[in-house]
Amino acid sequence: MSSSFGLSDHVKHALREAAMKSLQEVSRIEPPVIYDALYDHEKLKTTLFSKDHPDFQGLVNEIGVDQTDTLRGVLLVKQKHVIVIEHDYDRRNKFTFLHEHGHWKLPWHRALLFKCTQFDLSAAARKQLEIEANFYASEAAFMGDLFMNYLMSSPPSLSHISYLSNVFDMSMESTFRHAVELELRPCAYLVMTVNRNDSDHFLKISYVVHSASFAANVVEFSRKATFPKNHVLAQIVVNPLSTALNVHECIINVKPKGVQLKAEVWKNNWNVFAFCQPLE
Amino acid sequence: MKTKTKERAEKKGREISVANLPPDLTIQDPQDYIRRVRSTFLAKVREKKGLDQDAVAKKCGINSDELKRIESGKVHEQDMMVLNTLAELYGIDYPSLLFMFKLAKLQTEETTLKMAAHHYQRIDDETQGKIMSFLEKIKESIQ
Repeated sequence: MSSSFGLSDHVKHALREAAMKSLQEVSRIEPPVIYDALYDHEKLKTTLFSKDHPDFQGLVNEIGVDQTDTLRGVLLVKQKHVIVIEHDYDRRNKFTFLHEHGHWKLPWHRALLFKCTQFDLSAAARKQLEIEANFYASEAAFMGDLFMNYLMSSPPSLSHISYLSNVFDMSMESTFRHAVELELRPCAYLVMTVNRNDSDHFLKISYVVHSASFAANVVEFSRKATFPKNHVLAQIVVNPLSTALNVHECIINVKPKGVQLKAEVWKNNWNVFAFCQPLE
Repeated sequence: MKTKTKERAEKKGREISVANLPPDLTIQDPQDYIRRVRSTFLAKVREKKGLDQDAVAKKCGINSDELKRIESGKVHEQDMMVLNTLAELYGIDYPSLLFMFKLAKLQTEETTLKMAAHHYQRIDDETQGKIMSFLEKIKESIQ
């Protein structure tokens, strides 16, 4: 999933306006956003398609994509049809539907999809389209300024953002990304992979999101950072006592500044996550 | 003293050598060539449409200084949103603008001809209009 970094302010403004207009068209003023209503309004047909379906390869050939691993959804503009490759996690499917809705609603996307295949576009153009559609999907799902009101109603924490994830019916991951990007208070969100064969680089950062004030005044995590197996962040994986808990709270020291951070750490089957704030 | 054979060979060499092309046919620097095309093409089309920079910039959601920079060919990257708005305002093909800003790899033949018609100084407006409508008819018949 791409971040919103790299979008100019006037494009962000246009994307936000387009998302808000879409919500107004279906008179949605309270969370969560129901994507069906947005699709009905546009008279767009939707299909959830399983990768295990016998016709999946035929669909891939028809669309003309070369990498099926990264294929999440596709907008067939002329047929007014959106096909989303089914994921076990419903909230992820919802984000993909909103992403494809963005391709449809943004005039400079739709016009292009009418005239070009993805192979006509440069890698930079394709990346720009995907980042913009992700930004649109976030703005629509989190209902613009409304999310900010909810976010600022409590101190930032795992439990508060988890609550927001349920209110807006969006994945924890997308809620965290959106919340930390918008946060005025200093905090950072780390997503790490586990490398069990390397004790020195046991946890490897996949990506990190800093709030603006965290990056400016506290510290900025390197995207190449790794943590050894004996690091406190790794306890959620290696320590039997910690692994029995859903969340492991700890204090970490970040070199070279020697900054102390309070971290809430949790994991799923694939990743370890940490939400960090300066220690008061 | 040069022999006649050598002179002929040199002359022939000049005729076939890329290095001997007259300056206006030589692309010394591809980046500079694209910049020159961009800088003449966009401003020219806007002027033909009778649009001023402020109005166009406002429609694009950018300030007029940014539009001046785009028209001067100094901008190498541009938002697709802006290019789409320019394409609509100027009545030119959106993918062709993407191509000029290196956001598309291919340019359709139709686009190439349209750009050539716009760009070629010796074709008057009426002829350009005929070329455009002829190309539109071809496009419609294909569709």
